[in-house]
Amino acid sequence: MESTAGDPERALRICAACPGICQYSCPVYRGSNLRSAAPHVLARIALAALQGSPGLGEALNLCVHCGECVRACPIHNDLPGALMAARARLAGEAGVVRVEARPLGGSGEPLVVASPIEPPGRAIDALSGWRLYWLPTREAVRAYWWGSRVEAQAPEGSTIIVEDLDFPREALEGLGRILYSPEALDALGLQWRPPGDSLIHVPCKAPEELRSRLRGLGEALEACSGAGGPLGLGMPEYAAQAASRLAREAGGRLVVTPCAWAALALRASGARACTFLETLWGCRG
Amino acid sequence: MSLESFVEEARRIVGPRWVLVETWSLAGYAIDYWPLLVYRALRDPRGALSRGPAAAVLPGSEEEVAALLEAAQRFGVRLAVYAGGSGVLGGAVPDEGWVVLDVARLDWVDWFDEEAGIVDAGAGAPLAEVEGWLNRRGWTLRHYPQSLPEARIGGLVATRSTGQYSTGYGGIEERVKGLHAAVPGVGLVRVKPSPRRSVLPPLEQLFTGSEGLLGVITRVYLEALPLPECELRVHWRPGSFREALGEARSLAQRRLAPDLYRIYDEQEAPVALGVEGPAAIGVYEGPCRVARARLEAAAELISSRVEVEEGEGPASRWLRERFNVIASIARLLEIGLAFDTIEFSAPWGSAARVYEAARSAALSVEGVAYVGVHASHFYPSGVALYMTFAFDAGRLEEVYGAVWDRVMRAVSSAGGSISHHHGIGRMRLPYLKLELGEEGARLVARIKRALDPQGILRGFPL
Repeated sequence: MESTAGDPERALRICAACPGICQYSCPVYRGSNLRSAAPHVLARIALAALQGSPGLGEALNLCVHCGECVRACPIHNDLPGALMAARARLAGEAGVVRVEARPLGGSGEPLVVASPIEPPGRAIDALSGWRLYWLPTREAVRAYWWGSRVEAQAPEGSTIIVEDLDFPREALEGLGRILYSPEALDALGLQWRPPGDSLIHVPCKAPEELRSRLRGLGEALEACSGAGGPLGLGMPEYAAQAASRLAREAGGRLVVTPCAWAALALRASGARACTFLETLWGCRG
Repeated sequence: MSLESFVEEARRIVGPRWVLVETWSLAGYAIDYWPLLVYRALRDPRGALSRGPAAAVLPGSEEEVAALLEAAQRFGVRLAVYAGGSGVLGGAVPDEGWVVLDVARLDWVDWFDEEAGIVDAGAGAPLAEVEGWLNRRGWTLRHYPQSLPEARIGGLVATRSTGQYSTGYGGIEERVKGLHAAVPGVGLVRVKPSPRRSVLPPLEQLFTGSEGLLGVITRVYLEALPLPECELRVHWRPGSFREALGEARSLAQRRLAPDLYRIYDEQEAPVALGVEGPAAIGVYEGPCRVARARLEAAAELISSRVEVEEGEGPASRWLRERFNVIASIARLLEIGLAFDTIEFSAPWGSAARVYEAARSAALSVEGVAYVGVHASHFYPSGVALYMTFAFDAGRLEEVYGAVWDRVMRAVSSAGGSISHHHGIGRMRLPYLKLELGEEGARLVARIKRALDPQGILRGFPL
């Protein structure tokens, strides 16, 4: 069979006709038990929403774009790609969202934290020798998943630490040196060790080289939190439900994650979780 | 009667987040995997998904299920029990104004008695996860229906499911050693696990196959077995489907049938196995010496040469591809064809006649492009036949019902039973009397009224 890439409606139809072979691989469905989150059900809902069914578009937030369903599908049907296209069509004309790094304090070379979580005042002390900026990703990510293009601005020559794995990487290209937080801890010369009882989260959206690095940092917890994509913003309560499964796996231990959305959802589900950077300013979940 | 009052009470029982009322959260319950509804949803997604329930409730404990039934009785609300939604006959689909009771959160799995191999599974536990949990501990249910990747335990028990290895290991009813079910006006019935008992008709079997009409299954005690030591994959080429049925009878009556055993007619063998003409595949399992001895004894009863597959072969290919239904569905969709399956059973004396009658009945409907049949479950007294028919998707409404109607009547007239393991659901309801007779149908309707006098569980469809 020909690939469904580039033909989202066809991908949705094939998925909608399936009994749901991949459904328990979906961290959102398995974690939340929301029937509408089961990939084949979501495909049916997307088709109806595209036909103009009222009240259904919101369900399209239920995909976190982890790609687990594509890997579990015997024909690797690209449902996340089709949902991305469906969202863009439902949103209408694509816009451009501009997001700018905000200065927080300190002096030295510019250091930008790209995250939905604003670094607190004590972050300036923890990262002394740098002029600290925060690039707030929250609204830009939301717009991105609904079809908008994101443009970011940061001081020239910045070092950018990315703790939002959903933020479009291309928006940061050309702005400076881009590092994921585990890489940044080394590059900035910080002597970082995982806190005592912690687990190192290896998120599904981490690129392969980041995954290898994470595995080398301590006891790894390799699973999708079910919290990223449009879900974390569009439906935070369901992101927390989805993350509750990962929280159970952690069994009360501190989860250190390079993904701020995972940290937020895990905390909302009652788990102990911090991003790598947050551990620098005293977070213990 | 007040839906609003029920919803309010349900929020108190299960917590507000587990009562769904938004359109987007209910649309998915409008259909299960009944092909008629799935194909309608492909043609008109907006129309198909607009018929969702009034609300959905996801209880987190057995006690909450019992409390919800009590509330449904008090407020006169009808419930449709949802346990995976992998049923193919519409049994989980709610009518307008009903509330779905989804058991998905009852998803635990643990040992009840490890020495006995009895596992305690919540009704919402996905079968694949239960089987994986057992496999990691060296055990198996050996219950592998086509819906293995999708089904939940409660749904399988409620439809009296069988699996690909059921010739060797029996249907789900043989794995069920006890269960809990919430019954309207009675409360939570706890049937403790037992290898066998003689205490009036077994209550666990009252709910096995009850299709959400008599109570809500909340917990099931299932008998597991140690993983087999050896697996021998075999295939052979019978001269005809009729000859293959004769061999199967001989093997089943001597307890020499493979644990997984499938025979294909000449229409289906090329599609399912990639070989021409009728074909048989099998898997013998168990201690290596025993599996080998059974195979050797069986081979003496089979007229053609039995090939043991060391590497690739029709049995290995089928085992590898068996859950990949989406590839076939997608191929058919793209050439404008829809398909469905109908399973039925027959005693050996009428098996060949039932096969011919059902095939002819399906082929007599204009618009049918393909009919293939295989047999996949064998008993000393008979066999289950499984028919696949494909047809012009553009003529769904005229062809689909006509095929079902003619096949149901043909099977019954030729001496077969109208269903082997998919159950009744909505599609087979009009044919219940063909199977049970006038009095039998009245009796099951009376049992339903006795257990659920208000009809809160799917009304009174019987």
